[in-house]
Amino acid sequence: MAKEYSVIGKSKVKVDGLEKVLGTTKFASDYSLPDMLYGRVFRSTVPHATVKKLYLEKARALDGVEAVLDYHDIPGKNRFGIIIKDEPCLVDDKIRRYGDALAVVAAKSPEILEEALALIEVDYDEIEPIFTFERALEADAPIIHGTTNIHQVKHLECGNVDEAFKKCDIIIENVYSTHRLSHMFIEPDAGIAYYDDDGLMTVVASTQNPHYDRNEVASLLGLPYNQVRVIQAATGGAFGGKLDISVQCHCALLTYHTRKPVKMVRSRSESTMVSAKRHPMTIEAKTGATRDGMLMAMEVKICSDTGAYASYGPAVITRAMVHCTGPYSIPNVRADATFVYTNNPMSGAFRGFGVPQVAVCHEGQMNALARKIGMDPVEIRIRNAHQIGSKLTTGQILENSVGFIETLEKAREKAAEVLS
Amino acid sequence: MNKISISLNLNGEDRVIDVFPNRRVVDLLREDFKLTSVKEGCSEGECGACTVIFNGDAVTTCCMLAGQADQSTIITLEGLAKNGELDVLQQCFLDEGAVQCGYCTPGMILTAKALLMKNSSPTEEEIKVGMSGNLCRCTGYEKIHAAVKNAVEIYKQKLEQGGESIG
Amino acid sequence: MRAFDFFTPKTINEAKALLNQYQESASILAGGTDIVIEMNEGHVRPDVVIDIKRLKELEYIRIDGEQIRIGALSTFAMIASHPVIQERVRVLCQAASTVGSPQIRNLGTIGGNLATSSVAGDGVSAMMTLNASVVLDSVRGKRTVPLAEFLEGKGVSNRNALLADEIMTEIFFDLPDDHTATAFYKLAKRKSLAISVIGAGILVQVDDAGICTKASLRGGCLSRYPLHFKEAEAHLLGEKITRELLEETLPMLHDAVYESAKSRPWSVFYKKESVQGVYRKLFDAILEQLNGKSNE
Repeated sequence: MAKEYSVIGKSKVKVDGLEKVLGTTKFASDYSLPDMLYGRVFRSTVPHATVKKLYLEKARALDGVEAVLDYHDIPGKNRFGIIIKDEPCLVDDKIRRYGDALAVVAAKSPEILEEALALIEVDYDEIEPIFTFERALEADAPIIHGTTNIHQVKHLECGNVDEAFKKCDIIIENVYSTHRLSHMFIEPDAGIAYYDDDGLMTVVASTQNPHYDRNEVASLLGLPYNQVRVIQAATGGAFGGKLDISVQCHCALLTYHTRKPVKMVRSRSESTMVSAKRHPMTIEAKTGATRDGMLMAMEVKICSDTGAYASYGPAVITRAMVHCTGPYSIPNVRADATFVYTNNPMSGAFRGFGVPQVAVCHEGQMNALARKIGMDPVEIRIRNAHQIGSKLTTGQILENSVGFIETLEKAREKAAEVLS
Repeated sequence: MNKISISLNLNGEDRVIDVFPNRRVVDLLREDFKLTSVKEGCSEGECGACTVIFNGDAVTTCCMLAGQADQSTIITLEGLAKNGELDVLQQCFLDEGAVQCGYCTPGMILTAKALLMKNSSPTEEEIKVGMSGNLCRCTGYEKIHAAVKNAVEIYKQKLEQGGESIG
Repeated sequence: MRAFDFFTPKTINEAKALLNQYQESASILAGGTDIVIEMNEGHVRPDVVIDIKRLKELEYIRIDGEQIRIGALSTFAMIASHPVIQERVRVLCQAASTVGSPQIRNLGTIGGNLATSSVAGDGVSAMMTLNASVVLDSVRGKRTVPLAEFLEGKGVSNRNALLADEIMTEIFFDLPDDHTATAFYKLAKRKSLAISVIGAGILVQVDDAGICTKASLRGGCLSRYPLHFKEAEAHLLGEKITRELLEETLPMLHDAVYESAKSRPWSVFYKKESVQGVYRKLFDAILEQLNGKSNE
């Protein structure tokens, strides 16, 4: 007999639903504090360059402007990033993408702020920008970070792939490419920084990652962690796109210097320009099977562009690689993944961390195999599906909750129902 | 730049304010009247988050200058609940779970309200077309559609019982 | 947004006087759905904004004998819901009801759409299909200009013939008769909130024997101004309208789009194929209308 639960199996009103239908929920841009200043970033209009000179004097002289800061004004460490600290809060050595932050301004009104930004000028020394994976790897290509444009290379292997291919009746080879995608969360990034009554640097932001934001703000300002507090405001969608630092550090830096609350709200175009994107990937795949549709071997090469900064690239490369066979058991697998830096928008976390990209590949391969063998595409999937006891490419044994075959069968029933 | 005087009926109250003309209606409502239920999503009339009811019609306030609000009647989400009682649409959105992040919700409810004020018994297709100017990125369209449909039914019952009209 | 002075004239004469005074430094605000976005982004920076939307005298749809006269400040929502336009001028009704979103249609005006003269203006394509004319008014007096000529003009914005002191006050065209079928089809990435990829219009008039006496085919977003499919029109004139005859024009549409697109980015090249799909749908629509009429 089914147990009666108080919540499971019941239709419940969401705890935050009432405020949201009343419109009283406070998102970051809805906060206002006495004496609050409005902040915005002055951004580069070239993708790859060094800064010859930044002209901030006119903006500083404008009435109503309270701070115009560049990297010299950062008291702590001018680098952040969730895994690799490679992104500057304000550019010091060079510009690596269109829209890199060069200066931040705080002013008494949005109108003065707009005027101040228009007074800032910059001279660049441009460097050849790199926009493709191929160009990034060429010997004469300019280096974006450190000593190589290779962000990461990973390799995964199990079984004996070369021997297994020799025994296959059918081999399918294809190349798949997926494009860069923007999350397009409906609320553009926003935040407000202030010193609370206890003198604690406080940032209220639209974010998915308040603990990490706290560490980054503390590191930027050279403060101990217990002197910084980050509060997540109601957040209007994110889908992975608000895991990276957006306005938190810029706001906090302006508050640090002005001692006043500073609010920053990105425009849609600014948000789209500098927030992370889904990694575009090119995936070469070779899949071998027997005549009766049993998968024997797979070889995959994944190439991707992580853009100007690493963001979640190191996580995405691993996830894409270990998921390259999809929900199918293949005894012999070799996967190689290479991610490079370019001067494109940075790629990062986006629902699935690389797994949706490789799904395009493994499902394409399964359909191609089914067609070539003349087998029902659902049947070939069921025949190779992971089940309890299956061993993954990584060596992990699946011990519970493997509902793939049931799901496929249900989907087949449902499809027949709808199509009949 | 000279300030302009704007007189309007805002959520049932007559208001007068002097502002610089280089603000949009979304700025006027959010910054000057502190009605922060009005959300800015795209700033170009594409997402519908900044929708209010303007002289009886749903409009996107990011593509209107403040001066256009003069002599108008505007309803924002703050003006829907009466004496602490939720509007039927608000109740239906809540009951149906048609709210996720909540950022598109004010625009969604007001677009639906404007639709029902004009046409108290829209067809499924009319609801879809009527709501087509509001984007939800958490993908709650099914529930939003169901919430509007439920509201139509409830209004219908209320009318049959001789109750209040929609607008 | 940059500072400007804002005027709200009460009458058309007051508006014309303001325009005469401020000339190029003024921008006219009708519905605002294009210009306010442009101003907010800093692309348009007027010193003076003249809000004409309150001039109710320019908000009308009138049947005037054989013509329809539409006040320039009529919104797309008004046009799309007008019974005579719904019944007799489907090309305009369909174009008006696919512009932007319900919210945009409540604000945006037909005059604003024509004066903005966007490549993707659905109102422009529909009105070109109808061979409409526009009335431009200023303190110097009124003038009437065929829309095609208006679009080729070099006025204050370099997009059309509108001069710095002029206001568009009216658009008019011949009311399609009982023997005329019209239709509009918008190809776009989504059904709503989408800019046209192709916004195509068609008008076909036949006599009692079903012989084509008038044909107008215009495709928006295929060249700077709606592409005129002259060869296709000539192919239909004087012939009996059948599906076969209509489909014979498809290669002509393809070639016209090819000619127009060949000097443009390769990314628009697919339109030479999609224009044929678009017109197949339009042919279905007009055959249905013409057959419906002959069965009555």
